[in-house]
Amino acid sequence: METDSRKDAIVLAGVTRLYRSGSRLLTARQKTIRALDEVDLNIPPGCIFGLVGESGSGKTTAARLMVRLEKPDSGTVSVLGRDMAGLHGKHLRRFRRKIQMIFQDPYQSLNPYQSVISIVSEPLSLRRQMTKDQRLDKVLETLALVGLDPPSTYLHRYPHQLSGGQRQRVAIARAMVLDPQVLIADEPTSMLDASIAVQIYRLMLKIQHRSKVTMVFITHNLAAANYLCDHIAVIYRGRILEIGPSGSVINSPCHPYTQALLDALPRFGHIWKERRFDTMLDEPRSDIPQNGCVFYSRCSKAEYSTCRRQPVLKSAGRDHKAACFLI
Amino acid sequence: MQSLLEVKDLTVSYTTPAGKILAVDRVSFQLEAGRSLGLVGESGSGKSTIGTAILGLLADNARVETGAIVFEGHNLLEADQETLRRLRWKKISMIFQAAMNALNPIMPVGDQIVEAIRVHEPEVPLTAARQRVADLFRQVGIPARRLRDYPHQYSGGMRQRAIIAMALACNPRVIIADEPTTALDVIVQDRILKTIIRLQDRFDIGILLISHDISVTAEVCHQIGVMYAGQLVEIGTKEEILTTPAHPYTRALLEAHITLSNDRQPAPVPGPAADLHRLPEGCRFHGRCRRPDANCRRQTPSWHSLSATHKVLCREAESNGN
Repeated sequence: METDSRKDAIVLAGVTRLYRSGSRLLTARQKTIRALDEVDLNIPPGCIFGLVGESGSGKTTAARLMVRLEKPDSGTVSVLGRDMAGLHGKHLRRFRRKIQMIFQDPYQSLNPYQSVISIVSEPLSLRRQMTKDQRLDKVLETLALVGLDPPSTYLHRYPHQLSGGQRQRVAIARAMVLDPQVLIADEPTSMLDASIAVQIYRLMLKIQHRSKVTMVFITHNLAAANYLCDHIAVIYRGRILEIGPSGSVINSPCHPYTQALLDALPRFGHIWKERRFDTMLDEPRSDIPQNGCVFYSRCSKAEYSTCRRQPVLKSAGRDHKAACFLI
Repeated sequence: MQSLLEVKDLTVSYTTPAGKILAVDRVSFQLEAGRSLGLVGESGSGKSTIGTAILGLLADNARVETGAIVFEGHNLLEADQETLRRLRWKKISMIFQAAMNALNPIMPVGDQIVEAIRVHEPEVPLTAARQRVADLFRQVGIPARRLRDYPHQYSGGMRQRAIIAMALACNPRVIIADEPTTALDVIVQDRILKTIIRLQDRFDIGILLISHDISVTAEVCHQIGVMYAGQLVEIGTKEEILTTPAHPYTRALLEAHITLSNDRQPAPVPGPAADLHRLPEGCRFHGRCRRPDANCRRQTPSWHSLSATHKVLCREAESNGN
């Protein structure tokens, strides 16, 4: 990807985030999990960027760092040119208006006691100069944007009176009402019917097209990422294993893990009838080298002598990189 | 050949504050041993209600209005609670979506399955039950050393596999799997679905797989039934449903699926989900259908056979000269 970090909307530079488990008092050794391990990532503005990986890969941790729900243990996270670590109190609150997030489960992320108008207009209370009428107009405009039409009929409904898809639209309206410059969507359709998911994806495409907001889309599904995203980064155990334009990552995947993610998609309707790559072992290997490739234990292609070191991202095509010794 | 499980003309109603609704309306299908049937449809289509009706676990406000559920020659709807209790797990077991969160957090996973076996088969000695659980763990792909671990030490996918092991523990004839992989990531989903396929072949079990995702049913099932607004609207072999879908709703579900193909844009199913409180006259799908005619708004559609295994509840099939 073209990297001009001054212009990029989001930059992660050498970001490591550790989670420590177990109490030091009770167990001799404290277990440390590297949720993100020296990750470098540049997300250009005005695009939809996909962060793809399975549960526990670190993709949600990356999102939480971008909105500064968490801080990195080392490295820097910059959003819209500002180092997030340097922002505190009032400045952080003000800056956060530009960065919004939507979550997996619209059943949990909306307050059941708040009506739609209350949910969507709440962020506007930060804008003291707006009059009540202006706020209402903005709420109606945003509800129309997210396809809740006619908007006035939704104002006084409560989350339990809405379908799952409508609730996620309300959550998107709440995120968009402040006209953010960055929108982070963490598996926004995983709790929705497959037939509703497409509606939400289409809505995200429409919003991005109109507002030019930079979107980060977090998913485990490469087909969904391919549909939505301009660029895709595949992440596993805290490391980016492959990154590039969606088309080249999907059509010429280089990393065995990306290939395994493609193999795992339900076969019907996809271009490939059969599993093409067979890169993931059913039984993980046991001879795991320290500081070797993170995918070693499950990779069918790995060789101990080669993969006992940690691979770095190297070029695999135009703007396309993969971290594997075997390419 | 007598089928393993037959649902005949089943109608189930729910009494709600807004009135009575028919969640399942005259649904019939058969399940054979060693075969699997996928029931697919959106939320509220009635597919889960069918699963709970078969297990005799309907909610208090639900009522079976008509029909029969015949298993091994007995109508389960006429069976008493004690008979049903003995059938559940032993003959008909279940895998629910949230089941992986239903494991007892303060008991090793292996022990929980041993206990399930001993409750339903008190004559089995403890050592034999333990051996059976170890075998089951191997079948579903959990290392034997994890038998003594507690649920919180398992990943989500491993817990779901433990639930599958538990569902298999008493050698059931039928397994009802309701959204067994929803909310799991694609890699885990792929593994779980492969495990289900393998176990079905090995144990000659009939599987009823309930899912909102037609690609999941296509991965596992021999037969697919499509449900809309409480009705079964199309049923056929997997190949028939995927290659010659006849109901406009089935076609819409297939078109809504996101694939890796760049030459086909997914299209959402048009219109709002069916409201069981305000069902339209005529065909229930006509308001969302791309090609309804005046008769679709007035006349209730009837079943049309397209092959010995494929039938559809749609007038269009009739006008196409069947």
